[in-house]
Amino acid sequence: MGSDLLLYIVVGTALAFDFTNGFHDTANAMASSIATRALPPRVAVALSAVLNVAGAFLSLAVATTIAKGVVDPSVITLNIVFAGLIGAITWNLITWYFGLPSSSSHALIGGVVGAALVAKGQSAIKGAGIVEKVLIPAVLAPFLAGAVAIVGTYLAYRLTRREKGDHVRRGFRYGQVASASLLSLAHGTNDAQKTMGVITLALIAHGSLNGNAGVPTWVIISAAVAIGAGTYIGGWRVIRTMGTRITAIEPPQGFAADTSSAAVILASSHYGFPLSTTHVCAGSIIGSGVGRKLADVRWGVAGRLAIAWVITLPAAALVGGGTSWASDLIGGTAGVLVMAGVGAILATGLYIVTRRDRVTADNLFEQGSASRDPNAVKHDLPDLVAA
Amino acid sequence: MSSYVNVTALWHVALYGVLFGAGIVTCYALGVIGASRLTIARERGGASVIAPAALAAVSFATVATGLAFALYVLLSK
Repeated sequence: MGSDLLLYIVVGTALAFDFTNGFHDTANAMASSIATRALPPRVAVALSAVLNVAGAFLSLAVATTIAKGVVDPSVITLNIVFAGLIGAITWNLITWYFGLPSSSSHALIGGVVGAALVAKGQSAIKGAGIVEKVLIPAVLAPFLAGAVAIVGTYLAYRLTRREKGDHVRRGFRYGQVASASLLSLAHGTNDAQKTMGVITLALIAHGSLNGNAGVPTWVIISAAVAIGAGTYIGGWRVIRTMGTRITAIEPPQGFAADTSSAAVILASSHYGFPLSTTHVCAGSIIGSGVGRKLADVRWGVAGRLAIAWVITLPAAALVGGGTSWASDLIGGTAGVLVMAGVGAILATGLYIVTRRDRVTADNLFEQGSASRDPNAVKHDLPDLVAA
Repeated sequence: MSSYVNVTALWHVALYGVLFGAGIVTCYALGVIGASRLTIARERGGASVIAPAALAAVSFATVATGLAFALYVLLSK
C-alpha cells in the first residue's frame, strides 16, 4: 500500500514537472512569433500545444535514465526522483515568476544531484558529468546559436534591403509560423520523453513494469497531455522577456532566430551533443538583435538570463537536497507525502502572489501595467500592426 | 577541455547549424524578394513576371525541402 502511494505521488509529481516544463518553455518556440505578430498570442500557444502533444507521440527515443552520467544510476530511488522533481518544479516556478527562461533539463539534473548528494553522499555524484553535460553546454549553446542567428539576420536584412518593407515583413511572418512550429514539434519530441522516462523508471522500480517492457500507452498519453496543457496555459512572463525585453524583434529577425534555433537544436540532437533548448533559443534571439543594424540589445537582461542559467543547477540541487533531507527526517512514504503537500501549498501560494501582477495574452506588450521593469524594450507596435 | 567536450560533435553542430540556419534564411529571403517583385510586377501590369516567379518558386521549394529534411532528422531519432 505504502509503495503504491509513493508511486502515485512520484507519477503525479512527474506530470506536474511536465506541465511546468510546458508552460516554461512555450516562449522558446513562440516568443518571437508573438512579438512580431506573426501569430496572435492565444493562437501561438494553442498551435505550440498541439505540436508538443504530436511531438510526444512521434519520438520513440524515451530516456529511461535520469541525470545519466551525472549521478550513479544504482543509487537512484523513488524518493530521490521525487525530491529531484520537487527541486526542478520549484526552480521552474521561481524563474517563471521572474520571467526568466531557464533550462528545465538542467533543473531536473540539479534536483536529482542535490537529492542524491544528501541521501547517498558525494560518491554518488559524477563531477565530470556535471561539467560535460551541464556547465560546458550551458556556456556554448547561447554563443553557438547566437553566432548562427547573427549571420542569418544580417543576410536576411542585407538581401531584402531594397524591397518594400511591408512585403518583407509579411513574407517573413509566414516563414516564422513554419519555423516556430518546427521548434514546438522538436520540443515535444525531446521534453515529453523526459517525463515518460521518469514515470517508466518509477514503474520499473516499483515492480509494476518489466525492465524490458516498452513505455505503457497511458504514460505516453498522460505525458503528452501534461506538456500540451502546460504549453497552452502559456508562460506569459517568460514570453514577455524573450519576446520584448531582450531586443525589439522584427519579422526577419524572428524568422532568423527561430530557424537558427531549429538548425542548432536538430544538429545537436542528431550528433548527440546535449544543448538546452532554452539556452539555444535565448542565444538566437540575442544574436538576431546583434545581427540587425541599429538594433538595441538589452545586455542587462541578457546578463540576468546568464546569472539564472549559472544558478539553475545549484538552486535546484539545494531544493532537491532539502526535500530529500526533510522527507527522510519524517521517514517513509509519509515523508514524501508531507513534502508533496508542502510543495503544492508553496506552488499555490506563488500562483496567488502572481495574481497581483498578472501577465496574460492581453497585457503582454503593455508597458507599466504588468511590467515593473524599467529596462523593457519599447515595442514597435504601430509599425508592426500596420504592416 | 577536450576531455569534457566531444569536439567532433561540437564542430558538426556548429558547421551544420550555420549551414542550415543561415542557408535556409538566405533561401527564404530570396523567396521573399521574388514574391515581393512578383506582386509589384502584377500591380504594374505588362512587366515580366517570369523571373520573380521563378526566383520565388525555386527559393521556397528549397526551403520546403530543408523543412522536410528537418522533419526527417527529427523523426529518425
